[in-house]
Amino acid sequence: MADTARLDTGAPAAPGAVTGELPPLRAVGVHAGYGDRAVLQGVDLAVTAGRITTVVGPNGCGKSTLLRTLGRLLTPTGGHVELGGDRVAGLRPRELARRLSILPQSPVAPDGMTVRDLVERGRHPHRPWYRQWSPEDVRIAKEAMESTGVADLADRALDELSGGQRQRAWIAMTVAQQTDVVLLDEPTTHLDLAHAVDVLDLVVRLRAEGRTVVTVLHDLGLAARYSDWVVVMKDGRVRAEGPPADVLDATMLADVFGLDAHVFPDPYDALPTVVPTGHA
Amino acid sequence: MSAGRTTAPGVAAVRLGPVALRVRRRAVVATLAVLLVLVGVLTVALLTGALALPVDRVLVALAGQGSGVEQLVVGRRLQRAAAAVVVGAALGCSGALTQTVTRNPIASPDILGVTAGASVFAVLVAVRPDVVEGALGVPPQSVVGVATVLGGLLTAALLLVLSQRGGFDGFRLVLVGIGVNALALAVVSWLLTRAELESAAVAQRWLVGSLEGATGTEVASLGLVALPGLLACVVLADRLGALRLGPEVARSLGVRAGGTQVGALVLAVVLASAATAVVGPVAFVAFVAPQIALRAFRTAGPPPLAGAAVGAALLLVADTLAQSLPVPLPVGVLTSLVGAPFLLYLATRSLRRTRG
Repeated sequence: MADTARLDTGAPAAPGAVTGELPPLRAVGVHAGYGDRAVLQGVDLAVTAGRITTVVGPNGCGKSTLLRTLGRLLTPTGGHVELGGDRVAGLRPRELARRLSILPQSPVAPDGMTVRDLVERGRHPHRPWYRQWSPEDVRIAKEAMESTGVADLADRALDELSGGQRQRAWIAMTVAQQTDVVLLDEPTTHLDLAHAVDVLDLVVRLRAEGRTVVTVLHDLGLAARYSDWVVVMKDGRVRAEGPPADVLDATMLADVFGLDAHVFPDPYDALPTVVPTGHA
Repeated sequence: MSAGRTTAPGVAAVRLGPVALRVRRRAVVATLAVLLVLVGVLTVALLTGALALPVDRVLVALAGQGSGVEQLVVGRRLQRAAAAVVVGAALGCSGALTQTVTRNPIASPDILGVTAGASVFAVLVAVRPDVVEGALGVPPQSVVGVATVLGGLLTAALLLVLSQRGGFDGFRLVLVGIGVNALALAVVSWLLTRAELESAAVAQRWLVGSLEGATGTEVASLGLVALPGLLACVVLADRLGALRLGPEVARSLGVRAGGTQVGALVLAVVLASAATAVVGPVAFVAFVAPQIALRAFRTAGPPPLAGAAVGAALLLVADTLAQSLPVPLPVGVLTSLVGAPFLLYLATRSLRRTRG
């Protein structure tokens, strides 16, 4: 997948424009945490349809917590989350799973499970317990494997694959789930740069298919290249949000990350490029 | 019924009205192998014993004829084999459930302390019958089964409360379980030291796990618990399959992970404690059977139904072997001799993996 293909998909311009349509996913004054530890301190966020929204921020700022709350893996202690105007708290688990999928960070499959087994699990919310398969399920799972480039690995065990292949298989499962909204928690963790780019190219494909993607990324350079909208978090709050070129600048990096860095437009494609100055 | 197209090598897709199943060649072969072992060992168990009976006399007795002694001997053998099959199935299924819920091969009811907790109540009834009689006004023997299951459930509740900190965590459950197991074993030892010599000896023998004393009524009532339990596993299978990917992925797929975990755990505890009530804590069957099934059926995760089948075969083989020794052993001694090395093997393997 060439870099140019990514640009061709063309992110819609000027996110945030008032369209009158309900945002596919929205957090309203969300507070959440673990036990006594409050992590999110009132987050308001409206995700725009058909875009890649990336949440960035220093460790412990609550970006994963936000994603987990958006995907109802965590119940907010205050505020609420809306999926296409419906409060997620009131949705039945299967209905939620047909509309939103969330891939947690570094998921682990049992030993010996094949890629095909995993991807077909994505059909779970679409079938009753006594129907292990249907021709439609088989077709959708096959298409999911093809579009994620794991069709050749279908009968291989996940534990035999490389980290990048495995991550693509997991994403194939969420593709087979056929949800409009896809949440990916640090999909590139533990991957080398080439594999990370592979996975993010896949995310761009999800967008091209019309899905709304929210991801958490650590790498600001990748976040700048692969996102339509960047949400910067610090201390459980949203500090800034907007297109990467508007949001990512040296002042913000110093302020939020405590990082001295040069930010300049890439001479090839004008996307913001982050280069830490460090103490060199 | 129409055979659909094969989607992966060695898999046949089968539809029966609204029901659609995948039948794997490997599973069919493994099922046949387990059945073959069961039938073979059952034959051996019926034909051999302390009293030598010719084959034709055994067949005559099985048909309901023959002398009183012959009928009695063969009836005893049949009952003992049935006990092995039902208890083994209950334990194998129980272990597959706990191993699936915790995603940990070491987490079987005996290692989590459930069996030991159930034993506490059984031993309490055995060594202090006066207390039971005084408190409930019923003969102690009649409440052993209920007390044992109650003990198992209470232990499981304690496990859940102690390991539930901001969510269910399989690994924490195992650690807490090891502690609870030690605690329960200590209580059992304490009860034994306080007991009359005679009742302590009875309880001690029960604690090893033996099919010797299982009565027909006990085996039948265990069957009445085990059968719906196995059927519940059929209904749960799809959700347990999703749970094998971790509770968060399961929830993302629309499974009520918490409810499914607690339900499967309660089912596992009832099966294991009911089996314990009948034959005592037969060690390691619940732990080993699902792991053998996992390898034989080549499934992703310990399979409850195949675990039950392997458990039945395993206990029947172990008991038949233990009885055929020059000095017959309680089956629990034999299963421990086989199970303990297997536990060590799994432990060292998982250690190596977490390090590598």
